[in-house]
Amino acid sequence: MDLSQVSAVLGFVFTLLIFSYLLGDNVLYRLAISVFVGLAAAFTAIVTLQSVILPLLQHITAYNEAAFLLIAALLAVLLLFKPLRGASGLTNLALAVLIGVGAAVAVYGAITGTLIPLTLATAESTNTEGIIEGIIIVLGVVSSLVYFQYTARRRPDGVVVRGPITRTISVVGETFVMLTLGAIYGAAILSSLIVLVDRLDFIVDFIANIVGGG
Amino acid sequence: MRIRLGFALYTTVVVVFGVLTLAGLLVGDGSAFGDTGALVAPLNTISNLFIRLVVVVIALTLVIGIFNLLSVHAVRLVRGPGTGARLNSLILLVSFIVALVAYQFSSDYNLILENVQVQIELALAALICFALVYGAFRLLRRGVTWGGLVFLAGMLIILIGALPLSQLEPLQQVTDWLTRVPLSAGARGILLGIALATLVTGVRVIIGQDRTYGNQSSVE
Repeated sequence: MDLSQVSAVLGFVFTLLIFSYLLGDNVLYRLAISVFVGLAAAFTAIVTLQSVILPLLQHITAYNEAAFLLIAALLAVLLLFKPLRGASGLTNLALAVLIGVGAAVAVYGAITGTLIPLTLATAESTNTEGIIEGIIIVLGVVSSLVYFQYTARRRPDGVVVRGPITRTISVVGETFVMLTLGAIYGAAILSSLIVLVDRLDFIVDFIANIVGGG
Repeated sequence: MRIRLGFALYTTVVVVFGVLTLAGLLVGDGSAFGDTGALVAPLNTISNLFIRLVVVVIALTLVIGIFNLLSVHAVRLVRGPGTGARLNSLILLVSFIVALVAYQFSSDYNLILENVQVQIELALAALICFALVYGAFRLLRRGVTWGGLVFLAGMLIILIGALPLSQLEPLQQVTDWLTRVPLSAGARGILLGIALATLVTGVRVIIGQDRTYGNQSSVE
C-alpha cells in the first residue's frame, strides 16, 4: 500500500466517521472529533512555537530582548492566577495591558480598515455605479445604520417608542439588512453544498476504485 | 469618598497602554508631521513594542491553554467517569503526540494534516449544509414577519440565481444587479455598524469609561 492509498483510506474512514453524525450523536463521531481536537491542538502548538516563540528565542542577542521575553512570560503567568482568590488582582493587571493595547488596535483597525474606505466608496458610488444605483446604495447604507440605532423616547405612560421618521427609515434599513443576511445565508448553503457534493464524490470514487480493483 | 485603588490602577494601565498604542498607530513613521515628525516618531516604536508584547503574551497563553487541555485529558484518562470518556481522552492524547511526531519527520508534506485534519474539516463543513437547510426550513414556523420574508427572499434569490439553467438567464441578471446594488448597500451598512460599535466600545475602554475588568479583586 503506497502513500496515496494510505491517504485515500484515511480520508474515507474519517469522512464516514463524521457523516455518521447524520444518524445521531454516536461513539464513532465522538472518536473522530477527539482525533480532530488532538490534531488541532498539536498544529496550533506547532504554528505558535514556530512563528512566534522560537524566532524570538533565536534572536535574543541583547539584554533588552531577554527582558522583553521575560515581561511577556510574566504577563502570561499572571493570567494563570485568575482562579486564586487572593492573587486574581495580578491577573487583572495583565488583562489591563491586553485590553488597553487590544482596544487601541481595534479602534485603529475600525477607522482605517472599515470606516474610511467604506464611507469613501459609498460616497463615490454615484460615480462608480451610476446615479440610480448610487442613490440606492447611499439610501441602503444610511437606513441600515438607522436600523442599528436603538435610542428611543419614553412616553409618559412608560412605553418606549421610536419617532415615526426613525421607524420608517429603520423599516427600509431592516429590508436591506435582512436581504443581505438572507443572501449570505444562501451563499453559505451553496458553499456547504459544494463541499458536500465533493465529499460524496470522493466516497463514490473510493468505493468504485475498491470494487473495480483500481 | 472611597477610592478603589485596584480599579484606579487597572484603569490607569488600560488608559496608558491604550492611548500610547493608538497614538503610535495614528502617527505612523511621523512623515506626515513634517519637521515635528522626528519628535512623534518614537510613539510608533512604543506602540509596535506593545503590540509585539501582546502578540507574544497571547502566543504563550495559547501554549499554556494547550498544556491545560492535555493535562485535563490526562487526568480524565486515569479517573474518567466511564470507558467511553477515557477512550476519547486517550485518542485525543495519542493524536496530539502522533501529529507532533509526524511533523518532526516531515515538515514539508504533513500526511496527518493533509489526510486526517483537512478531511475531517471538509466533512464537518459538508455537515453544516444539513443544519443550514433545516434552519431555513424552520425559519417561518415561529411566525411570519417582514424581516423573515425579506431574509427568505434574499436566500432564494441567491440559490435560484446559482442554478446553471439557460431559462433562468434573465433571473441571473436580476441576481447580479441585486448583489451589486442592494446587497452591497446592506453589507456596507452592516460593516459600518460593526465598525462604529467597535470604535465606540474601544474609545470607552481607552478613556476608562468601560471597566469590565477587576470587578472582584480591587484593593480598597
